[in-house]
Amino acid sequence: MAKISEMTQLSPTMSEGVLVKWLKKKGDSVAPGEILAEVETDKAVMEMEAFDSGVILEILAQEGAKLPVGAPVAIIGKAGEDITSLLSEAKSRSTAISTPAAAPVASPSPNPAPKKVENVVSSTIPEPEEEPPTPKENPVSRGLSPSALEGRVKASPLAKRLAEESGIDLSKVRGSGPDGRIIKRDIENGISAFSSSGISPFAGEIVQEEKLPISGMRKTIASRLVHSKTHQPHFYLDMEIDADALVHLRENFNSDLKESGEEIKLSINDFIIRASALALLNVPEVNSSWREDHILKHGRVDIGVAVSIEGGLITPYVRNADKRSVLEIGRTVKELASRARERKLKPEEFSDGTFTVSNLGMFGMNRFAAVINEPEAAILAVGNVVSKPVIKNGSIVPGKTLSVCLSCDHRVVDGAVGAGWLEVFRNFLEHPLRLLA
Amino acid sequence: MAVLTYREALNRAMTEEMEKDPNIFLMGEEVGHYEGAYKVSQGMLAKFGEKRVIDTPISENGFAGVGIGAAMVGLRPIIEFMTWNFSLVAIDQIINSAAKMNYMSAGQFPIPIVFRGAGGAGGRLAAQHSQSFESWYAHIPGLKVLAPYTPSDAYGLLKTSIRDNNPTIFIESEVLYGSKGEVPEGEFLIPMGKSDIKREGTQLTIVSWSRALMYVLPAAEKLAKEGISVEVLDLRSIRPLDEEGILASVRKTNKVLIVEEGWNVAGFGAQVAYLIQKEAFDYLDAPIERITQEDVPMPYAANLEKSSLPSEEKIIKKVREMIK
Repeated sequence: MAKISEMTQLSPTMSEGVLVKWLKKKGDSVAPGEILAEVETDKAVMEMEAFDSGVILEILAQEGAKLPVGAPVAIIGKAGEDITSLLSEAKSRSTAISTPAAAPVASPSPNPAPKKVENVVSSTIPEPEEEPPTPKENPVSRGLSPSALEGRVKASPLAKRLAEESGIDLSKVRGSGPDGRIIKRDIENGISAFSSSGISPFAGEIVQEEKLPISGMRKTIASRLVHSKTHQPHFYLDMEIDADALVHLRENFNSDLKESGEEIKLSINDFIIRASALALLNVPEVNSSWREDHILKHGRVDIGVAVSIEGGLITPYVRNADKRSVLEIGRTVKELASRARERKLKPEEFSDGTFTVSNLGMFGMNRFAAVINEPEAAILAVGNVVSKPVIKNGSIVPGKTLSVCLSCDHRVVDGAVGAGWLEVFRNFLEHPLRLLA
Repeated sequence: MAVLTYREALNRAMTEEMEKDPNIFLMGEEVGHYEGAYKVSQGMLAKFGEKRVIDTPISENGFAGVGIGAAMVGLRPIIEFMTWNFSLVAIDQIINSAAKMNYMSAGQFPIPIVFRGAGGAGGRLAAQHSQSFESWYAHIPGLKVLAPYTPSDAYGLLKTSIRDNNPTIFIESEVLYGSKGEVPEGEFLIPMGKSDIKREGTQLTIVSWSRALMYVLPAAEKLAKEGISVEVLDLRSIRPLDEEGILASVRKTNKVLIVEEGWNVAGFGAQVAYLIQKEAFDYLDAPIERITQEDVPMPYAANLEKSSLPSEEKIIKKVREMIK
């Protein structure tokens, strides 16, 4: 008996996903556990498995379609089975959230996709006895709006008249009205952003403003950071650390590794993660979370490393960082960051940590303050190593310093506690051999 | 400026006109000794006597016909239906005689008659006594249909109706009779076919009339607090219709919501929507929307009656959707 396969919930927070790529096609045999397709959730691209065995009788969701969890994606059954009623059922159940975008899902599209486009469902799910649909051309590639691609421009009568009067090509306008309809404000925005002749009163052309779509990751970043910044009472502790010994140790360590044929090269951040982990063991109040009716003091030390990836950032965790050597930490971070950039992390690898380190030193930042990664109680923002004159034994000598800023959730960490943590942290970094113990 | 109830404004209009013209008389059930089922004709029997304020048996078909006959021979009757629900019994007289007599007699018999009474829902009067018939009567060439909301409009329009030489359907509302409003001192008339902007606005026009404005105006007030500027246009006159007034407002705001107490199917709002899309198509920035009574006979239960009718909440929700 044929069955409808649905968009699977691939992470606890997933409510919708983009079907990035089909790994099976119509007519292929599948068995439970076989990978059907790749799906982008709010943070990663994951593999969606089949739950039924049989032949793929129909593909219902196009690549690039954004679908809610539970939306029909395919029909699996015995070859030759009649699926007319299942097609009708799928058609009535389907509500694609956005049009397919042929551009790689991971990269932000230069043109926004409409919130919803009419007839996505009907163009996605074929009528019984019809040929399966071919994916649409990428709207971006022709500079056309999705409605224009469908052969009609959806615009209010008023918008049409205003566009005509202003010489605006409606097929180039993105609608912000219901179902992507072009309405008066879209035309007015167009007129104000770009005169109808394309000539601005200034010497050069003014680039037309555009509305960019918000990716699942961007939405997650937005909602979580707004919540953190508005619900966690942040305060910030700055500290400058003498980094001479650390830089020296790292150089020696890396040259030894190179000589011994190791491919890994340790970064300053690997030492910082190790130092953070040991400081969290010493000051466990910082390794805690606010839980409304109690404070949870974690038994484990899982340190997140903020990794910048295309279109956002993600925080994979080095689990039990206090029990790992600097070398192990270095290898783990390298491997996690590489998979993060490929969007291959599993949800359990980027959730449920106890502390986070965010380092912008490689971008030339001397110091900055980071937003706490809820529900953790603190985050360490790390700048770059700066060569500067320092005073040692009463003399001004060339030195290297490192600025860090600890953002603390005041509900859990008081000023003195945060300062105590930083003191321990500094001791480790200024006497870095202790990190190798 | 005097503050009058809706019923007092109607009473003043009829009294003033009857004092001026001895050919005008009031006829209907309970209009005399009981002084009106809704106390609209208080004091009129005492003032004008039984020849001009006439109590009838329960016989709408009969006294409507008598009124039409009287109009044919030069009198100017005001016929009160206790409610417009009871006019159904007289609808043949109204449609086939009153509305068409002038046309069929090539202008020999104008019918200067006013049919007036309570329309729409009252309060728990149930399915047979809670109906809005303006679209029924507006459908008929030869009839004029008025549905004022304020005491001042009721006064000015009733006087105009009494003076008009055509049959007029004058729809009041049981729940409006006790409502109060300022009515200018001295005599004035309000022309038929002239709508009234009850509230100025810029983002959306609500077209409404009669009792539905009870929900529309407070809703517009609340929406204003959210920064949504709604224009409220009171039709007042259903037929003739102030087409230019409606279109001017639509051209200003580009969005229209029509709120009416009656049902959706073939309700008068559909005619308004047709007019707007035909004459102001290029000014529309959103589909025209309507809020009407639910498509069921009026329930007797108070909570169900409330949910069947338009409401402030329904209006606010719909406007928010349209403004998004």
